[in-house]
Amino acid sequence: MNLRSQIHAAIEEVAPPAPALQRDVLEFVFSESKQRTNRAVSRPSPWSWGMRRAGSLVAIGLTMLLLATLLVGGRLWRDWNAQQQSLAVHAKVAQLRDRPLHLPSVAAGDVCPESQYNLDQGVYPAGYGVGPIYAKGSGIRYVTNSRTYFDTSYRPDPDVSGLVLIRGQDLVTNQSMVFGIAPYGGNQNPVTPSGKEVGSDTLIGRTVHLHSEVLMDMAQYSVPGYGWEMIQGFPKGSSGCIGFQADGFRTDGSPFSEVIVISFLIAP
Amino acid sequence: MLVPLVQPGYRLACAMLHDSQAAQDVVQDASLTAWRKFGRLEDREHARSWFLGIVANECRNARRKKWVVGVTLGLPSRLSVRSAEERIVEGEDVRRALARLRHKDRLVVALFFYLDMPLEEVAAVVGDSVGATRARLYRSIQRLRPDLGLEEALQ
Repeated sequence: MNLRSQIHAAIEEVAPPAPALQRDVLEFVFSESKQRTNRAVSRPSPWSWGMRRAGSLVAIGLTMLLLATLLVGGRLWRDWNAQQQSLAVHAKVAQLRDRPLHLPSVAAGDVCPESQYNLDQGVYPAGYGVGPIYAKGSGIRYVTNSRTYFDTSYRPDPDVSGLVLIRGQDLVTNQSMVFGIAPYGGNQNPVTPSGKEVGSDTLIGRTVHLHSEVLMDMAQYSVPGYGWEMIQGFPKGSSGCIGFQADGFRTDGSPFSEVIVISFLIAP
Repeated sequence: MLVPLVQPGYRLACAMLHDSQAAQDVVQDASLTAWRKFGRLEDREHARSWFLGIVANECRNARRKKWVVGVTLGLPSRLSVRSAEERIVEGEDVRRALARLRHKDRLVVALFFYLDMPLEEVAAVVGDSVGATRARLYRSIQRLRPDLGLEEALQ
């Protein structure tokens, strides 16, 4: 027996006929290929995994960017909003300030055309003026070397809206009035001295900064019974016949400019 | 395309593994690989050598995974009645000698002697030149049967 026959015989002993192998192989190949196709459909490819990973990183980055944008944007929005509100207030004040003064002129020695004094509901003193703003003194007076100051409160009618600007001057000498925050504190309805700061004075030991005008805000008019409290002063040499002009808007949007004339008793 | 190649593949796997069940598994795996890579086959006329190369590679993988196959198996599942004891001993000796050959040497021997393939096609399956395959075949013969001359062995 030659080598070829020996090898044939040796291997044939461990290689029994497999007539069904062809069919089994075909079935195996088709079933496996089908499963692999399904797996290929259901399971992402490595490229897809890479894309998913990259997509996740992008999503995280976008989320962080969004959060940062919201944080920074919120601050910017708040600042911008406050700035816009401030600009709106300034615009409104400028609009009120642009209104001309309609204060009458009084010749020296003439009778001061004092406004009428009204009683609220006919009983309680409302103050000088015909409305919608009324001025009423508390009776407190401060006299310094340069000026005389009266503690005054202004009360609005309910249909007043927004800001009210008060300006005033001596109707005889044309000297300008000054306004400041009352030095004793405890103001129930705060006011905002505005316009040009014309100096300061010391009243009952406290420094009071004086301005050429004063702003009152209905949004801060929280205690109606007390009015807006402040001090207003006129310089030495004043006649005591003082005219005030209150400019503002009503709730229906209509503007008002009210002139109130008060005759103060000037200390000699 | 695969159907006519299954039986040659099975025979080669049996020659390489000496285990019919393992050989069938190898052929199935090789068939699946061939089916998936069939599009890459440029010359369809050499499909048999291409497929047998895949089978040979699967056989090597199978032996790496199950190195005990060559040790535990080898007894024939079915024996001829004629000269039974002698053929068992002889066949076992031959298979052990084949199992001691390196993979590529055993592959060349199986293709040339058992599948009766010409040396050129054996070289195509192995992936070597014809000269290198011839030299490999001669070396393998010397290891299997040192007592035989080449002329006698190649008969």
